[in-house]
Amino acid sequence: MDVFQIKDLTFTYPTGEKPVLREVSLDIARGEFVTLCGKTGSGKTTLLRHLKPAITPHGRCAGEVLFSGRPVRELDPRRQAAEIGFVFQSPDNQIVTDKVWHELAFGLESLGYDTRTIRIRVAETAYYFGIGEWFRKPVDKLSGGQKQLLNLAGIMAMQPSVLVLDEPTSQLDPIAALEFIHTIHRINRELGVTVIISEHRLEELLHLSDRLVVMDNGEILAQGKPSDVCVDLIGRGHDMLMSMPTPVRVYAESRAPGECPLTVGQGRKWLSTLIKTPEAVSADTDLKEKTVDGKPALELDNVWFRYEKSSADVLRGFSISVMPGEIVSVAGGNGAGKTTALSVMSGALKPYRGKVKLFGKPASKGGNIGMLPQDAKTVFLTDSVKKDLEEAAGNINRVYEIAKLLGITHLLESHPYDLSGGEQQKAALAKLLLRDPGILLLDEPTKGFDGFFKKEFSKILKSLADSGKAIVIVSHDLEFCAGVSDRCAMLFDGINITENIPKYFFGGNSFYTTAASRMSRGIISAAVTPGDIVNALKEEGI
Amino acid sequence: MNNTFGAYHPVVGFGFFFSVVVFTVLFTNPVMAGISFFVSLIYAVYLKGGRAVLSQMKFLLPAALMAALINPLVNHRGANILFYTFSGNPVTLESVLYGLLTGVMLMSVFLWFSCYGEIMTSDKFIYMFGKPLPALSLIITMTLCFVPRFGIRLRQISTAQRCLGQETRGTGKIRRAKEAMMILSAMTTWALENSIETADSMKARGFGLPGRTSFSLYTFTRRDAYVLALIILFSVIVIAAAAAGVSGIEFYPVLRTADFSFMYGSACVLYGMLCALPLILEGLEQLKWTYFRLKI
Repeated sequence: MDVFQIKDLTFTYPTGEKPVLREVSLDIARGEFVTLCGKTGSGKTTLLRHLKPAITPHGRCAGEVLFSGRPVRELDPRRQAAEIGFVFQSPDNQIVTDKVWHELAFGLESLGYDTRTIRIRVAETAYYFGIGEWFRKPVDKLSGGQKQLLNLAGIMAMQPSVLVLDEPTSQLDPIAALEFIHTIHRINRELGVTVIISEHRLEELLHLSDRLVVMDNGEILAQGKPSDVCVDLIGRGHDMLMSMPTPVRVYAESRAPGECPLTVGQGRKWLSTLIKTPEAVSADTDLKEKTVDGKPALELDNVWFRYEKSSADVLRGFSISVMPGEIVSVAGGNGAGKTTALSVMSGALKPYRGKVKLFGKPASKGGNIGMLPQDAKTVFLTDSVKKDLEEAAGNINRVYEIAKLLGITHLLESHPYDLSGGEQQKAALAKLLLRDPGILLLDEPTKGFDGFFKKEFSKILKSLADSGKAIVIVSHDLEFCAGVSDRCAMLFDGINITENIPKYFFGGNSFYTTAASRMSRGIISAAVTPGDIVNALKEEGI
Repeated sequence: MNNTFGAYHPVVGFGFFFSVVVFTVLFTNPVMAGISFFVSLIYAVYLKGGRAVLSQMKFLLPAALMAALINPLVNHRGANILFYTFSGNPVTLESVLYGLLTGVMLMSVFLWFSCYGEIMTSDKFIYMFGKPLPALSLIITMTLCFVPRFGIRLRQISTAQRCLGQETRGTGKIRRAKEAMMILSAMTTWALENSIETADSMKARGFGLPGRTSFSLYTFTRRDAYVLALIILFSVIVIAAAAAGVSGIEFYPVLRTADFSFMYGSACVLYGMLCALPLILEGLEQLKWTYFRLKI
């Protein structure tokens, strides 16, 4: 029996001319795990919101959505609230109350349950999600991952039969995201709840899904078993492939024979059937370090930092130097001190020991250095991108120049908050560039990006480096770091543990490395990006 | 924290502070005012620590002194004239005494409220008003959720602006004021933008359906009932004694206190016990633990 039947759904926003959804038809079976993917602006969110009338946007709508065989709009509001759970993107904005326990009870209060019933439901939910530890905490003391888990738990307390999730992990770091996805999978497996999830980060999601639905321009481009859909996309040579997990991308680009691998494990099996003599094949091509002359643009020498006199050290003798024209990425887990290191570089925080030098001069004198914060929204102060950029430049011609360089000319009139995550990041970068800093510091620049945007963004960064800017990136996104940087450093426990060019850096690590490196380890040497593997395969004549 | 009274049901805490504050304001008897002041001082020190209370006293004492000074200046009743002011108005002993009493009462009420703040957390307040005023209590809850987020965001935005380029820092007051205005407007946009998603999240969880209930973690147990009964009993006796005039006092035209009687004495003792109830409960708890430890 199908939970949802979407029939020829076409939808246009009141202000828009083109429909956002065009004749979308989709059936979702009870207990199914469905992943919805597509580029930013392909209509994923609009489609998901049509599954729950309480939050369906207003506009012209044709076609229908059936829930258990009856139009979802006719569903009793009480049943709708309880049975169709919806998790939104932002971990913060969904939270209504100030305490964890109250947030868990919020939905049940709305449904009018008595205290006794709520007490039991809240208890079992807290137990299932492992919330017991922070049950009485105020919500503002939780991490992003905990908040999103709380949002999920608050909905599961109402015992829904369907769970709809709209990019729930895009604001989370990879480890929290992985944990969240595993929880969703567990709910699906153990409780039989139907899951419909839209996501950019497919690496961990694809192999868990019963079905993959690809949307493009408001239409369903392909749907079916994940591996079949991937093959279909490869056949079409579609853009969406860039957002697919590394094994799929390698498979697509190499056009090598075999079945399409979805996980690193499957990818390794697939590679070893192709290459009979492991380690003989190497992706070692250009291992020359980028030679840059002159003085370093940014130099940190044995920097120690702590937030308060009595607190623990966050940086313990951190050293790094960055040449003009070089892109250096600093990788590291949560709490390793990445953002702190960046703030020290920017001069926002002062180390209590050690030196920070900008172009050979002490940082305390100030220098032309600019930092892009994690949340690009914090950069904008006005109601249009153009006004904001003008404010920074004081000269409209330069605004157009930079806008052209970053490919955001068409966005100048928009409100900054109306842009997608990737567009916001680009517009914020534009504002930063207008101040013409010699050193750029970027904090998690690829958060919430789809694969397409990542590629574009790394191109922009490379061209900026070529024009002589020194760029420092701190990121969780190892794939992105490997693709874009000249050198990578690993920050652990407040110290720069190792530093090397990406090939050696990722080639040397065995867990903390890119998917491509994990996939080819022991089969192809020194391959750290999908491109490396593809090239190695080509050279082998496969 | 060691806070036995805080673990009682909100109704108990609310009943206690309500009666104590009302009595402190109503009873102009100096003995009772003194009792209320000293007990509230001890309780505040117990809950918040001496240092915190001391810093509160730094502005409480001048305020009380002000009250004590202003009364004789505007109130010229009373028989014992101490001296005349420049404008020729009499300053009387009675009005000075009454002013001092008002000052002490003011301090006690403030101290009781600072204890109230420690015991009656926002959760308890929301619980108390959740049933009669569900909409208001939800608004308070949401505000409490919003305020810290607003602060965090404000810091993020100002850091982001500062880190974009350092030349904007400290370049003229007008420019800085303009930037502050822009940050404020950005904060407003941000808050409105987020509230749309919050509203969606509330709607998605059935907010607005008729028959919303209010859940809390509090349960009214037998010991809550005992303590509440004790508070009511003491209050009734103290009110009865006051109504019977055993603790009566008149300031004008001359100070006249009621004659000391057994009833007067016991009313004062009972009032003292009522004020010190949280401290007594705390003491009993301490004894119980000491006893348990001795048994081991």
